[in-house]
Amino acid sequence: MIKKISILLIIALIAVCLASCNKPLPLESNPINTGNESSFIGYLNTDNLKPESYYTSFKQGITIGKYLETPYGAYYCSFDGYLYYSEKGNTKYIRLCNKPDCNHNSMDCNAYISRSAIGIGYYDNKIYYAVWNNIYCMDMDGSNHKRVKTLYEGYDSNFGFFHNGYFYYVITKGGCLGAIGNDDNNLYRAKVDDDSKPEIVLTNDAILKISLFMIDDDNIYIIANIPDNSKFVSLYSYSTISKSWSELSDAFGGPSAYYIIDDTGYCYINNKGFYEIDIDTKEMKQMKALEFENEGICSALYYPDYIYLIHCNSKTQDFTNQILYIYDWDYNLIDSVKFDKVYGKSTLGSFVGDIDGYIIFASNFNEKPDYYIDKSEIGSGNLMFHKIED
Amino acid sequence: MKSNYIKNISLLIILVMLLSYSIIPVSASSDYYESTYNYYNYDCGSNFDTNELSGEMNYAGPTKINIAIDYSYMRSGYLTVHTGSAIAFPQTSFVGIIATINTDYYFTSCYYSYLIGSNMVYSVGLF
Repeated sequence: MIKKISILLIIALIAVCLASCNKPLPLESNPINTGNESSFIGYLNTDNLKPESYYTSFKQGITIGKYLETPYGAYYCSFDGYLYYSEKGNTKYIRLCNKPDCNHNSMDCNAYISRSAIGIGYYDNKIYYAVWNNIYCMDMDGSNHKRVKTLYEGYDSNFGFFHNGYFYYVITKGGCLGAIGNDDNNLYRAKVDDDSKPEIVLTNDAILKISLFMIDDDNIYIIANIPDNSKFVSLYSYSTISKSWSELSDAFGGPSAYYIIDDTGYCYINNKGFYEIDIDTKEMKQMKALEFENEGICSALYYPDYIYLIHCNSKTQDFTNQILYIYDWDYNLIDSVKFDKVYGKSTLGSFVGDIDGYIIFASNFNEKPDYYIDKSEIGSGNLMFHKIED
Repeated sequence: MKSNYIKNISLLIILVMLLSYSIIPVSASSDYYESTYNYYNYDCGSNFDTNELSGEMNYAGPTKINIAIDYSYMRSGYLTVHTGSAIAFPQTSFVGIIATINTDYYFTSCYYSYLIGSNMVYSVGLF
């Protein structure tokens, strides 16, 4: 009798084990479930559209050219080469792929553009991206990837970004900005939607020291490093109409700490404060003095609603302890909040973008944005980072 | 005698503490890998330093080999994170790549891809 009961128990146990083996993984624990259930990928939402130039122009962030706001939604290119999409007004990010039977984890996925992608841009209902010396485009839903043009022959690297239908770039033979071996002093641009060849916009030795540049109408503003000076950079302007070149300041703020529009330049200089420069008179004024107990490293990001100052205590790469200070355009501090979601000193993560009612952050630039601030909470005394849930 | 010893040790500890604050930390790491591809041996060596990246590959077979590096870097004093890439000229037998950055910048991480023909046979990320 005992023997029969034992055999029955063993059979029952085997049956339970086999049944559990066949059970599919729950949705939330399936590692290949990236949540691409949306049928609205790349869908044009005409509510509250901004002027086309708002979407096509380059915007500064902590990263360069990795985040886009478009009439179709927001796009983010992670450092590991995947493109993520968020519907307008929806902070959830999914890999930009509608291919059936794709697990969204391979190089065949529509969302994968390349770990070597230099940046992404929006123009005339297409997403453009640069990889090595080539420009590619795709439809807004991530399909139909095509090579548009080759910028130059050979294996040299470049640095650049998309702006108003052009890819502006410098050739960095040594591998990156500030690399030993860079010897090309030209700034180039290539039209993204035709067969024309790239053209030289500007030739000047300041290009060899370039830290970043920006374009405002017919003017190009270049910030160039001053050797062994980590606090200041030089600011130059170049008119593409009159071809005039001018040095505006040798004590300006560095990359992602400046903004120029309508003949006024704005910058933040580490542990000195906010400054403005009149482009015509070259007169520079301190607008607000600011000094941290620990100088650390900073960026100041200028967006239509607010100026975002991000401060890290460490002098070098360490994003684990950063504070976001939010100022209005009269330099009044409105609010501040700590971003302590970056784990490990080797991880890079911070501000990604400002879109409609949200400020988007990523705890790791290798992955999709995963935190947001609801801008309606700014100044409420209860500002916090919310987790973007899948 | 004993108090002198304690005094010297205390001074030494203070000196070491002061020095540790004045030295900017330098991150460095390396990786080595070897295997076979199409019955021929290959090896890949990667080195990461905050001011220099390098990689080299040997392959005993006749196919061309190559190295691509994708890296992030920052400018001193600012939070901006740049990304960049470099690729070597394809070669047979041996290929190497190096990127050296000046003192205004520093590398923060690098992803090395080793290719035989168009097939990636090894990759590694260093920081």
